[in-house]
Amino acid sequence: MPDHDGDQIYRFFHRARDQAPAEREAWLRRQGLSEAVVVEVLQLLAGAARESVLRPVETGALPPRVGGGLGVPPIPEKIGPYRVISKLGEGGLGVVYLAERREPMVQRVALKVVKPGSDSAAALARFDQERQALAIMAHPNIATILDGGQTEGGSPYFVMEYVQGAPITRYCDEKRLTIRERLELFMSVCDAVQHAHHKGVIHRDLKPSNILVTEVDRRPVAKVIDFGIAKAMGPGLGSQTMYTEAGLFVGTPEYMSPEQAGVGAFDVDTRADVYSLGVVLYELLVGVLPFDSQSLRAEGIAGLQKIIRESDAPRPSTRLRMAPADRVTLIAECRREAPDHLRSELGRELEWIPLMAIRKDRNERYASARELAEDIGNYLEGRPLIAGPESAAYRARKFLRRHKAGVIASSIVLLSILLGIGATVRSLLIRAADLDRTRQALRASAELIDALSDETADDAKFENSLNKAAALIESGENWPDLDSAADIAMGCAHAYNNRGRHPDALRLAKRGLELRQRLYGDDHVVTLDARQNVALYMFLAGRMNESLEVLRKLLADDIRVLGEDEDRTLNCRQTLIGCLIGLNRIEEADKEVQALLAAGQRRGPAARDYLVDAQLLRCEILVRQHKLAEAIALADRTIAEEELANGPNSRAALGARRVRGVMALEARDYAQAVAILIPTLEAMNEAFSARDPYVILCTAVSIDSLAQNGQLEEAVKLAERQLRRLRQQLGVQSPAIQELAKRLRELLGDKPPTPEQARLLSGIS
Amino acid sequence: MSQTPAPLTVLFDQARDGRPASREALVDALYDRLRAMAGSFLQDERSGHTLQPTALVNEAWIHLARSDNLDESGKTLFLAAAATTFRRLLIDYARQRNAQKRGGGALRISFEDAEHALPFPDASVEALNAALEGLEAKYPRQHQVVELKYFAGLPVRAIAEVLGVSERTVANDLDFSRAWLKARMAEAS
Repeated sequence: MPDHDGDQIYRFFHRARDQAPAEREAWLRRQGLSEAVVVEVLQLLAGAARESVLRPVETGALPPRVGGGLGVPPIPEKIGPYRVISKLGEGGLGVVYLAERREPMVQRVALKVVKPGSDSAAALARFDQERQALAIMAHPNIATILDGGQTEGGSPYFVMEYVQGAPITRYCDEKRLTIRERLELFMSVCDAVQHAHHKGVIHRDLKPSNILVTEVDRRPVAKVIDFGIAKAMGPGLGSQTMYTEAGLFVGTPEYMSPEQAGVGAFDVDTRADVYSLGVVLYELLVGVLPFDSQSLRAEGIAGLQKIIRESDAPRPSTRLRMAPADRVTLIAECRREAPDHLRSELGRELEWIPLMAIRKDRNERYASARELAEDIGNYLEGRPLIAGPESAAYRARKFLRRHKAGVIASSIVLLSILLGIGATVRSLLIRAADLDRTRQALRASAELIDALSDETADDAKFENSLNKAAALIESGENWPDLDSAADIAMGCAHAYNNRGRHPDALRLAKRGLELRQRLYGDDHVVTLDARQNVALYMFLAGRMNESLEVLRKLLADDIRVLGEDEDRTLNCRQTLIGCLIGLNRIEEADKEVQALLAAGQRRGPAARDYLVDAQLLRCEILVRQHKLAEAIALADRTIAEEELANGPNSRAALGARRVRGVMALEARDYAQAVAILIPTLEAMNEAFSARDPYVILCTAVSIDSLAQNGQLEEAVKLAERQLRRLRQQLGVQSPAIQELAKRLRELLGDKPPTPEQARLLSGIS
Repeated sequence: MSQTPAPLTVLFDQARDGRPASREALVDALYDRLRAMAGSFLQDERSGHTLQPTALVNEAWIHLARSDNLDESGKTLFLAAAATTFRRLLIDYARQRNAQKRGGGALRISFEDAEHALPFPDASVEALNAALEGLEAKYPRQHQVVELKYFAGLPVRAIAEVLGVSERTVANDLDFSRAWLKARMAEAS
């Protein structure tokens, strides 16, 4: 076949596809082609037609095209009773014309002709149903739907109030509206959407180009257009917006809620609009979309759905930090702000509002557009917000903090064991925003997750994965998302610490701190958290005086930024007290304990844990001041109060009983120590895992008490049992295991170990 | 001329200047590297005998860009060459496997989603290869689109960038090529 034929075949394959299937052959034969070409094209078309998976909407009947060419269809003169003036635009769904009606009065309208799909009749029927609802919408910020009908060619069309305005994002930037002005304008949009929802109409396609801003008396007025159209067009046509013949996404996925992003997912309610509003708000505030349009489309439909449905949107302040500096300057200028100021304004609280609106799970979003507007009002008037930090991350940090608190309340020798308990799983959930760069990082972190979840794994393997991740983090910009990088650095620090490698832990924690300082600034709570970690590892690495200095400064900053009674401040004070006791600076420690007690009392039941911890620290100080009787009295009182408040097996009550046991040991009342500690340990064993810091600490003193009480055999048995359990969860380098093994060896003395004991002790130096 | 193979950077520079011979050399140079990487993918128990070109090509790029100091501008060239290389590799791999095992000539190329799937999951590699060669002879651009789509796993937008044509054209080419290949394969079977 000559080349010329190939060219014709290619061209006429595509042109013939624009014909109705039944007419293709006849049409082809009219084109004056050779028989061979006609046969070939028909054969190809037959193959293409069967291939329906990739083409959910087979375009059966496109409107007749004048001239039969590939050119743009001409503008019709008239559609229904409307005279067409000009074309306003064209989207994936259809063409919008500016049109005019002369009867009964002259009125300019926007007329949207929908590209015909397989069920335009059904679309019209649905539109008729919707019309009633659309007609009763009367809101100054909603462009009314006036009419609907069918063109001569059979395509449905909708007639709307004509709004001469700019998309809200463009308007705000062009007029350089401040954040406050933007928020106020946006609230009126929420009002409009709420009104429609109240009338039972969901928009389903909210985006800046559907929220136009005009000026009335030189004040901006927003108008939402296209209300109810997506619904009227129904699922058959609605899904067409997303896919063209080639499987390309041509809609506006940026603003689409996760529940809308699935193919055939039509369980959509008003909260889908809340989501879209959230994205618009995000863009209004930050100047960029939560997910970069290019990366959103780069991975094809499946990738796009994955991002919309699974990736968490970065915080606006983070997103801004990731944008190039000149871009940020421009964005800030459009808001009449200095870049730094914009960042901090977003970072303080405001950013939680769009984030809450675009939660993946609609149950976690604002319940309505009104609630969203109300929260914006809260922000503008300085009231507390409904929105807050993401719960998962928040919980994870709280978890970490609680455990750290536990450490300090315990005896310093075993301090190091606790760290790392908070694991790092959350920190390893990386947003797959940029696949290219993320891939490598993911691979390293996947290995790291494996290594972390199996801490008994042999050292070489663990070390290898850990070092790889650590090296990536430390080498600078290789992690795609600095926020995760910071978390992972912290996670690696914990892991190193678990292996007793404090200098490495300290190095990584410092790296994490550095990243967080860059991302969040000095005064953000996560940065303060990171400083506390650095101080802890410093302490554990033996640099105690240095650590003390860091903690003192941190405490001052905590008080300045958050106040005297905040969790973080209390936590820091606890760490400081631990450090002071470790340095044997008992008087200073006592002063801090008094402050902690006072704060605990001011906070009341909500911070009971802190109060208990403070009282136990006070006991420790009393013991060191040789006021044993007073210490015992305070411990007894603490136990009684806690049991009354939370029952005998609350974490704090068990912890307090352990301290009481330590005191009996201190008072050389070994029988009493055993009587207190053994049941406490059993209760802990039931409630917590073997690696729980409380269990580890209680095991150590229980063994000591048994041994002191002359119950050597029981002591050995207990040591064996706990060591067996612990070895299932931690590696041999873990300080907890080493400590326990040391005790077991001491108990055995010169006695040769049994095979079981030898197995338990194997590999431990 | 030196007998040692030119470093990738040199090959890239030459290919960038539009010297067709260098493109061939580039494909050859990439072959061993991609084979080494694909080998580790193939040995991966979890994926069985399936290949994920997108992943592989991305990984290869990251690797090369780092080890050979290539900048982003080389990526387009790389992708085009990698697609060709990768196709060769797949065919060779399938042949080799067929030689080892009796019968069962089907190699499954796994793509993450339907959009990336070649419409002939169970076709024999030989038949597919023959059809692709036919396409290349008659419709070189369309063939390149297919390679980039299915052997480098590129999205339409990226293909359009690589070839310097519109996305619409890429979509048209894909539609056409799929129909064309399907017709050829139907003839062959």
